[in-house]
Amino acid sequence: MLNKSSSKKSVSTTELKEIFATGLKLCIFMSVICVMLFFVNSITAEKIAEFESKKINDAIITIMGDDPNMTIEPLEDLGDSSVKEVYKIDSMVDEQSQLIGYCVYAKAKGYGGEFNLLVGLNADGTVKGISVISDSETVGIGKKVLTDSFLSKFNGKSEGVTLGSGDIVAVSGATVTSKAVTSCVNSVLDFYESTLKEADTDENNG
Amino acid sequence: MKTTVKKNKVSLIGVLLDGIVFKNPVLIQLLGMCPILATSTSLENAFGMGVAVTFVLFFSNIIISLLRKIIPEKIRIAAYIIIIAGFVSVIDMILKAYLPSLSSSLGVFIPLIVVNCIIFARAESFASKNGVIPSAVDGIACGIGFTIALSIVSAIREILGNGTILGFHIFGESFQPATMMLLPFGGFLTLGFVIALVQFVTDKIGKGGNK
Amino acid sequence: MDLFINILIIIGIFGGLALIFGCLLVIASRFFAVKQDERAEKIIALLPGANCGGCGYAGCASYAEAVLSGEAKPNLCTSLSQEEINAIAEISGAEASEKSLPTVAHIKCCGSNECTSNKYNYGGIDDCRSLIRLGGGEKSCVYSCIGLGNCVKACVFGAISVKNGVAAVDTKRCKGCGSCVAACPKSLIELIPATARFSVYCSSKDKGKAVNAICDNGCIACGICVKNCPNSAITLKNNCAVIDYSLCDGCGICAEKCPKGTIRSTKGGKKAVKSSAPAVKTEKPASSTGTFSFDVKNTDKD
Repeated sequence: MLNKSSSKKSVSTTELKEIFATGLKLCIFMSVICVMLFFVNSITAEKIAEFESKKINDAIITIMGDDPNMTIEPLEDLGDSSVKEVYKIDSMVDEQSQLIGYCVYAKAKGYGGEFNLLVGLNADGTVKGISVISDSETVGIGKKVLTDSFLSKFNGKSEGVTLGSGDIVAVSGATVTSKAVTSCVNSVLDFYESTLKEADTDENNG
Repeated sequence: MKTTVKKNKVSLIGVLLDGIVFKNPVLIQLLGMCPILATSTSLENAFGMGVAVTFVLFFSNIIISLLRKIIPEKIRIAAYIIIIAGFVSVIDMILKAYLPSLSSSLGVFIPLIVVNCIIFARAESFASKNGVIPSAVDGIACGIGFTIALSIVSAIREILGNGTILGFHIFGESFQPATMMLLPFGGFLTLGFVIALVQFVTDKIGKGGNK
Repeated sequence: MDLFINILIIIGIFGGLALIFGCLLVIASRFFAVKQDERAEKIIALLPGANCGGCGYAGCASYAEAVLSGEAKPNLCTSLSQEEINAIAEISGAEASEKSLPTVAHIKCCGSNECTSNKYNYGGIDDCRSLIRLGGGEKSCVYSCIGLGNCVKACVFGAISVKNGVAAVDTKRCKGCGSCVAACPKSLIELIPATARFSVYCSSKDKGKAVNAICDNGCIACGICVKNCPNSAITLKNNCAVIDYSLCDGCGICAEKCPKGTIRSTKGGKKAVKSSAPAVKTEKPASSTGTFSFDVKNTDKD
């Protein structure tokens, strides 16, 4: 039964004061915590962004090779839904810029959530190498898929890859992760066909 | 004249031992089992999670104890959650910045620390009724207790399910581990057996003391 | 400056949200408030809050309501001091009552593992009631304390513990609430005045010879205590000594004279009693032979 005796519309000023005072206290707690978070964030945000970009740079060097003449050029406005960022890799030789390939930072949906791969492509659109940027797969199951022994099987592929056909077999017990990697590589290859190849041809022709 | 209810003096050693052994939040009170099942797939994850929970417990217990006379009764729950969420966000940012591999391994379970039963239960039942120092000790003790329980389960699951401990292969590379131990089913089994063992041992000790 | 503006925006948004929700929470709590008699809260604050049931009501809250409705007197809670009783009487508008004389629990058995033996070994559930039909318990005497701790579980003040196979009361913690009296399946526990200094720690109805054979400290109904008590406070009932505390003045002569050490000080600690009559000991049965035999005792009165 609702108690109506003291909560009628005619709320006295002391009650109003209490309501406001309590609300104000909650407001103060919230503000203090927010300020604390703000400061912690300002200290760590830089490091977080730095770390992420460093990881990508390191992965690019691992896949494409450590060439002192290499330039990494992020391409803008090219990503579709599964592609986060695209980097064009050129090499400056004798003041002539020669295309080495592309690195596509793409995401995939694994067992433990989203994971991110860096797929390196040769100038002709075949897979040069794959590197894992971040993941939350289970140790011993999904993580086994995200190792070089499986990922290197994609090297040299240029068209739609299907699991189970030929040499790429899903890791037993980790089907979800294997399928996720495959579909990610496929979408990167599609992306190359649809977007990067043309841009490349345009450049060469123009 | 008002007579006050006599409160027992809180002994710090008692609080410490309670949190770690006698009233271990996981093995005796059966709290916080969800993150245990999910993050106990490797010992490294376990340590990371345990440290994160201990950090949050320690600071939130201190703050809540400091503010216990100021927080009005009616907004108690909201205030506790704000404070706990604040510290969880802090540890989340710290982990992302300085231990990113651990942060991505633990994934969504770091933010889920906010609704971890243990933290809220200690805030509600201990920190809101006791002084700052006992609350701080209780926070650390429960955190250590949680870490110990989590580590035991993780060690078993990692050894049996992956053949490794902290990443080192202890049975040789060709060992075929029982991968099901790393699945949720294995987690339930392991946790169940560990709790049963603990109950058995404490019963025996209890009987021995009495007889 | 930029920093400052950012902080202000954050505080504005979240602080504002918190303010709104805080106010909403307080309004909601008024709306959904449960009306409770304020006097009940005041009385409950004076009660110990242990919910022991010694007053005869389900818990401290029920007792408070009963006092307010006039159904119960303020002095039923044995934990309260006279001042607290007066305060409760004042709040509830009842007439002042006197604090009842404090009592403590007393367990009428001292049969520990040292002075008696087991007729069998039991390995079942920890409940005294489960052994009632098995010869009244593991120990040789059917009237003995079973020692599995039903009374310990019933006591909310932690005043009873099982030591050496027999239950013992910590008189400093005991509040005389009576929960243990109800819990003991053999009704071995009684409430005696807190001022009592000596008690009889036995309730055996067996004749002296039978008791002698199975327990070093059981009452053999020899009657020495009866003859020596200056106040005639002890009598023999059913082959066992019984003290009438309205007559006892705590002189302790009975305890001194008791040849078996059955009458002891309530303050605990075995009184240095020489067991002058050498007990005829039965062989203690070998542990866990797997077989057990009941001592067929003649428990019928002649």
